[in-house]
Amino acid sequence: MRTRARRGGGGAGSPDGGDPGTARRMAAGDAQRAPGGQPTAASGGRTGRFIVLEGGDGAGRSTQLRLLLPWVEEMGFAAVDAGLGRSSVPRRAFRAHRRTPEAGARTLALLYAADLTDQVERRLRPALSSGFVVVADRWTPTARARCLLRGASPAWLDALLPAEPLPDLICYLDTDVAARLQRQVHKRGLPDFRESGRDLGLHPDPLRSFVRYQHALDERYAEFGRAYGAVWRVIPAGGDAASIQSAIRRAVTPLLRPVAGAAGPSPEPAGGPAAADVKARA
Amino acid sequence: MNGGPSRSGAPAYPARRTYPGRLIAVEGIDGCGKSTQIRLLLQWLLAAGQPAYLTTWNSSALVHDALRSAKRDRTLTPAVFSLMHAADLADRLEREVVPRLRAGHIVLADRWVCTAFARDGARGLPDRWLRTVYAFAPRPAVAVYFRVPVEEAASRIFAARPKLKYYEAGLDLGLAQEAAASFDLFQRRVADRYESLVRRERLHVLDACEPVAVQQQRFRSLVRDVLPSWRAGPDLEDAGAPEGRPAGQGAHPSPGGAGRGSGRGKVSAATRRARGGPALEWRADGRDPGSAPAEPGHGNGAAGRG
Repeated sequence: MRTRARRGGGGAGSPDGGDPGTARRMAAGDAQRAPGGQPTAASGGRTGRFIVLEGGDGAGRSTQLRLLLPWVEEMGFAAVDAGLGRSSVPRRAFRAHRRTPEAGARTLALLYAADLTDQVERRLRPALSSGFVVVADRWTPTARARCLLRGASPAWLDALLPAEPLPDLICYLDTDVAARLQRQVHKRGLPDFRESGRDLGLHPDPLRSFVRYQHALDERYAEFGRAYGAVWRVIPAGGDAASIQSAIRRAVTPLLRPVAGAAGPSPEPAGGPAAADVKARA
Repeated sequence: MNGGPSRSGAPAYPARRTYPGRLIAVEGIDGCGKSTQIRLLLQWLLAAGQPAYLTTWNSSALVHDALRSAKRDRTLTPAVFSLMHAADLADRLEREVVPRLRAGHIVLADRWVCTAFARDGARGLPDRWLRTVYAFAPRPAVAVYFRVPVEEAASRIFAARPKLKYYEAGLDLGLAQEAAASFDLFQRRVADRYESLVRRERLHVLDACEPVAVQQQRFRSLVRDVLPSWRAGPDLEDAGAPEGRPAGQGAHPSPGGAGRGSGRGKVSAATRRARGGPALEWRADGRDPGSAPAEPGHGNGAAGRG
C-alpha cells in the first residue's frame, strides 16, 4: 500500500469482547443497507473523507488516483491511498490465486474480505478518525461485482465485505467496453484470465470473453449506482486523462471544505491545473 | 439442494448439501492429541482399502504462505485472521475435499469449522458472523471433540517443543505478558467455546486423557456407525483395531493398524478389493463403486451447513 502521509498502524481494537473490527458491526446489523446489500448512508463521527474510484478493468483508475492524491495534498489535506488487493496480508494468496486457474470463487471472495477488512482496521479507520482523506482504487463494489458474477450469494457477501467506512464519494469512471479492451490489449496483450471472465466459460475466445465479462460487470455497477444514490457519481472517462481528472476534482472539491472547516479549493476547469498535472505526473 | 438458509439462519453460498462420501473431523484445543488420532484413523481406513484422505487446518497451498508471513509479522487482527483461515478452508474444500466427497471417498479433517467457532469466538468475534462466514462448509458426518484439561495439553506441548507460538498462546489478545500464562488463559477460553459447541454441533466427546489406543478404539467405533453399508465383517472388525494391545498412555498403534499381529494389517488394499472386501461397499447410494461420481442430491453423506 502506497502511503503519501503515513499514519500509525492502529489496530482492531480490543479483541476481548470489545470492538474486534468490522465483523462485529456487520453482525450487529447496524450498517444501513439498500436492497442488494449496498451501504447507502455516510457514517458520522469521523473527520476524514473516504473517496473511491471505481470502473471496469482498463478504465484508467490507477492513472487518475496517481493524479488525484498529490492534488489533495496540495490543497492542504493529508491523503492516504488504499484499494482492492493492497493489504499486505493476503497479497501472496492473491498472487497464488491468479496463478491457479482452478482456484475457486469462494476462496477469492474470502481473500477480498480479508484484504479489505485488514485495510479498514489498520489503515482506514485510524486515518479517517484523524481527518485524513483516503482515496481507494476500487473498493467493495468491484469485489462484490466479481463475486456475484461467480455465483456468490449477496447476503453472504454482505457479511464478508466491510460495510464501513461508507464512502463519501464513489467516482465511477465510465468507459465503453471496446475502449477498455483496447487498453488491456495494448498493455498486456491477452487480457488477464479472470479479468476476462475466462474462469466463467463465457466464450472460448479470450477477447470476446473479456467483452462479455465487462458488460456483465457494467450491469452490476449500474445496480450499485442506483443503490448508492448521490454517493455514486458517474464520470465520463472516454476523453483525455486531464479532463477526466478535472471532472473528478470537481466532484471531490465539495468534500474537502468541511474537513478543515475552512474554504476549500476552487473547482478547476478542464484544461486548468489538472492538465498540467497530467503532463508532469502521468 | 443449493443455497438456502443455514441452521443459524445465515445466508448460504450456493453449495451442495449432500455428498456420497463421508467427512470426518477432529476438534480440540492444541495438545489434545487429535492429530495423532486422525492419523491413526487414516492408517486404519487405508489398510482396509478405503479411499481415505487427510486434510489439515491451514494447509492450503494458496493461503498457507500468506498466513505464515502475516503470523511472522504479527499483523493479523482477529477478523482478518478468521477470514484468512476461512479462505484456507474454502480453497481446500473446493480443490481437495469436495471432489473426493463427490466421488464417494472418506475425507478426514484435522480441525474443521468448530476450530474457527471456538478460536475466533475466543478472540471476540461474534458467533453469528462466524457461522455466516463458514456457511459454505459441509457438516461432518462425524465430528469428535477430544476433551483434555488445559494443564495436560500445555504439558504435552512443552514436552514436544520449548517455545509457544505467538498466536497459539493468544499473545495477540494481551491476556498476559508471559507466553505460558497467556496460553493457559487463551486455551481455557477456547475450551469453554468447544464445550458450548458440543450440543449444537453434535460433537462426539472423547476423553483425551485415556490411553491413545483406547481413544482410537472409540473413535473407530464412531466412524463405523456412519459408514452404513460397510459390512461389519471380520475384515473391518479386526483390521487395525487396537483391541488386546497394551493400552498405556502414548502407546500408539502401529501404522496400518494394530492388527499387524494377526496379519490382517499386511493385506494390501488391492487384495482386499479383489476378494470382495470392504472397499467402497459402505456407499449408501448403491452405485457401482467404479461408476462416475453421483450427481448432486445422491447419497446421504456430509450434509452442508448452507
